[in-house]
Amino acid sequence: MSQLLEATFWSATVAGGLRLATPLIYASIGETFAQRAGVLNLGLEGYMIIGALSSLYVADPTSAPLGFLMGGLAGMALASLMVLLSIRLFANQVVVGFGLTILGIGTTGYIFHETTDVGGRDRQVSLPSEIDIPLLSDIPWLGDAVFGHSWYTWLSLGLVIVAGFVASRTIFGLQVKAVGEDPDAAAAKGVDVLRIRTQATLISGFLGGLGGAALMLGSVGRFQPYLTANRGFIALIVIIMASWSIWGAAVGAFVFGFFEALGFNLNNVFVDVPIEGLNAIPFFVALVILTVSARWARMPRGLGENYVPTV
Amino acid sequence: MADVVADGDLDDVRSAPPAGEERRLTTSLSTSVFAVLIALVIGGLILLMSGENPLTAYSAMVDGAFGSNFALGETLSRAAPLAIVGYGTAVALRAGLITIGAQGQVVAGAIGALLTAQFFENAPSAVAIPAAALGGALFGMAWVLIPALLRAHFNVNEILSTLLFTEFAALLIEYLLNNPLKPPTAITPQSEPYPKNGILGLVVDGTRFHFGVFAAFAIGLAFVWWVRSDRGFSYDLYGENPSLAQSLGISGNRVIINSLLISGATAGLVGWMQAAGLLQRVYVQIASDIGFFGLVVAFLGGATAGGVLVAALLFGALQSGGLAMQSSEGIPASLSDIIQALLLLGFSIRYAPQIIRLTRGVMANFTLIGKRRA
Repeated sequence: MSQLLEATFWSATVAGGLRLATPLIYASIGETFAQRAGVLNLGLEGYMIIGALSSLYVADPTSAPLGFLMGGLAGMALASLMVLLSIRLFANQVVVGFGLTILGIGTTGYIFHETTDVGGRDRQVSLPSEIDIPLLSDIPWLGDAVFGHSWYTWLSLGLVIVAGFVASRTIFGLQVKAVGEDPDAAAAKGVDVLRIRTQATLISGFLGGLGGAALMLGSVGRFQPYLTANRGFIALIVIIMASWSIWGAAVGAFVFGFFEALGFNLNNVFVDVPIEGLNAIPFFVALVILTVSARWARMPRGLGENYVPTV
Repeated sequence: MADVVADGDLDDVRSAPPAGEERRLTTSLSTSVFAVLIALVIGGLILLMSGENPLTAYSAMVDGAFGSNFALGETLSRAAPLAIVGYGTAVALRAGLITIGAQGQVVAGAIGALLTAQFFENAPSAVAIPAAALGGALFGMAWVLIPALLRAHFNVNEILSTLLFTEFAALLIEYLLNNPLKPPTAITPQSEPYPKNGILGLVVDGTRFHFGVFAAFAIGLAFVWWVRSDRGFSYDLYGENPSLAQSLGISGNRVIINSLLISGATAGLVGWMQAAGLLQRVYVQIASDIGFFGLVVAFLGGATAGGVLVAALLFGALQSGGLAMQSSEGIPASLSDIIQALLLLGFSIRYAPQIIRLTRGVMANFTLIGKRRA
């Protein structure tokens, strides 16, 4: 019990939370773009897992940054099916999303088994070292908690700033919002609704793939089927909690990561409590957040509905 | 009521002329066959790219799905749970709700069935078997109760809340099978063998075709009755057009809660079937992917009685064929996942009328959090 009063327990939990949140930050920011544009990507789980596998298979023979990029491209490739089927052929977004999730899980499972020999060498990458920010990481407590992370985490935090700027301060960001709220009005103003939705969906595919790649290269190191373990769906909850704001999505991802880390770390404190009960903490928090945020969050008006141009 | 309905787009759904119905059926049949062929061709290309012979692979799959009594038994014992979950999910889908929590409800049902069967260990089978089935169904129902209440009263999205309950179920069964339910001698997490008086016997010896499979037909018949009943019609109406249904005095909350409870009960029944029939023990992976694919089966079958049955048989055959192909040819069984995903994607485009009709209802009720921006 006394461990709970020690600063190191909490700094380790905050640090672990940020590390666990990193893949979610990429994925939920990408998905926020798509949903702000009115596209519900239930295939996010599929983008993440295909990004995870692709990043490993490229990073293993070459280098981690190249693998990371490849993860994003693989997610984008899967998202292009979402573009084709839902945005261009007007198929129901929910159905296509589930289809892409299964396709991602099936394809990665197939490739993994087809390329892995029993008893042979597993493809794997060594996990990245922490990059300490000079001076800042020497601050007691805060330095341990916040300023010692891998470049995947630093990049995700940079992405939050860039994405926040793009979403609210650029023409593209405003167009995204316009086509998600009222596609008819946006089209009347001369915005190409399908093009903006296509771009937003591809962004979410790319960032979803990066999320999977960050999970793989940043904290797991080797592939196993179902690696992403529903993180794609957790990202959807994060977005609801954030009420479709970019900054909020990053905070929500951290909240989930924090409670996940807390569950792990409490296991050393309350040794008599079943570990499964502690591991349920983040999901329980997610359920509470989902319930509470249903009272304040407002989803984009056009979300989930296909736009059929009237020409 | 007739003039109210005529205003909406319900009339072309409910009272379409028989001739149009017939044409729609042929279109949907030909698009269905076409989608299956496309999926198989793409699957073949994937096989070619990975250096496998598609003909060898597909013949191994067909052989593993239909080639022997054992193969047929595998197909049926895989198709039956998919059909049952599919029918339950279809009730919810028709009311405009998408539940992917069947996975967790199957797990809860298996636990419920096992506990009930252990309680009735010394009772005659005629008591123990129905009691365990009921126990499974009730546990499945209990597992969806909170998501159902949250959806009805707080507009909490049912896809995400049922998904969280699947996580809870996974953690619960891991705990139970590692601690209180684990036999002292077991190394891996598992339960005691299922009580003998509650086991569902085999229909054909030397296969895994057990009597529980017939539950699928019973549930199918119940589904047909449901769809034709007045209450089933009012739930369909709510799924098509919630505001119209409510103006006719149908309680939205009741539709939401009851249809989700029905889907939970069927999934729980599947948990019982798997524990008492197929595996005769409870394992952590007892739900495998039944919950998720049950939803896909409901989508593919357009939430109709015949459609769900055909889709479940197709998926059952693909899955048992895929596993057989993996063990005989060494080609990963994940190929069946890919083909099943391609089937769903192929069916999702607008030329498949049965899905269009269904998803219109789903979108009428769709909510991620309740309210859209005003």
